[in-house]
Amino acid sequence: MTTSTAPPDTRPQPPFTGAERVLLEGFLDLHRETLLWKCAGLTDDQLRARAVPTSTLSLLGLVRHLTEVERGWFFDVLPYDATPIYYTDDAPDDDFLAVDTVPVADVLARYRAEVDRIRAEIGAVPLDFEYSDPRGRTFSLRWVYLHMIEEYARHNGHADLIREAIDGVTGE
Amino acid sequence: MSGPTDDRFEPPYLGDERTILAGFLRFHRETLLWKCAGLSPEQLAARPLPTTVLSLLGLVRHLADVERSWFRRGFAGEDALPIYYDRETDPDGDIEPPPDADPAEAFATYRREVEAADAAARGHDLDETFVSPRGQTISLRWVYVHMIEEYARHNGHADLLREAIDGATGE
Repeated sequence: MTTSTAPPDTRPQPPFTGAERVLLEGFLDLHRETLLWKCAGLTDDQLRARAVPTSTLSLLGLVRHLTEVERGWFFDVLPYDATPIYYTDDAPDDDFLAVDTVPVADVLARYRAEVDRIRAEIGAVPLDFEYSDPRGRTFSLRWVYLHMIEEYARHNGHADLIREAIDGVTGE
Repeated sequence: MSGPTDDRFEPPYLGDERTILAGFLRFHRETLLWKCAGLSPEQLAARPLPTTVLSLLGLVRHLADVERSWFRRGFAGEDALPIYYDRETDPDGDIEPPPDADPAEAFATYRREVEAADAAARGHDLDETFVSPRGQTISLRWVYVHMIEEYARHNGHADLLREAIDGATGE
């Protein structure tokens, strides 16, 4: 397999010092941009490919899933309608799995729009803000930020290996 | 396929910054070990995916050196040189183990480094800083968040490696 050239890396890096909020937002944004960077320069078919043979994951499936994750956590805080858009109770993994015919450009556009919307509004909510979910668990926004960072980072780890399997491109 | 028993620590949903950071870091340290649990030395050393050089053994060695480099050598200024690699002669020596690398040694070293990392951070404020070899001023807060995201990313690698080895999955 020929290794392609990695797409240009214009991702903003979080500062090395600063207040808690600045670092949390910086690392979260780094991972949002990393997901998109791992998708950059690929065809629609490549984005749909389950490129790691023992896994059902694809890059497009990860984008769909992370769109739901952003909505699911931040829309509870904001609070907006967080009804899932890519899966149902009967097909709870469709965000990951139903990637074969969905319009790729629409998925990427929807992801960017949801993130932009969240970015524009979440800054007003304090990190100590607490809310409870339908299962009766009470979270702080601080926990949500760290969970988002770790969930993104974990999926970017999946994306690392999927991308490498597609065209050999690697990079942190 | 069912994987190893999961009795990992759960980070608390509420609490101050230090509690939540330490909680997520502990969860990811335990997740790395969970992804390795119940496997033979051959399985741990295996490169189960054809398109990557990564192995679970390589990840354990790498993360032992990552803990050491940020908490001990970096933040605490200890004279704690890299264990498994040499920046000039063998920069990937941690993550690409030699054929005779011993998993038991790797796990013992890893556990030792985690304890030493925690000791280096204990009692220090998250806003305390150190200067890196490249001249960057870095806070303990940055180190914690970076460790969490680096662990989580490598646990993502571990997810796919483990699944390829024996089908075991799980967050």
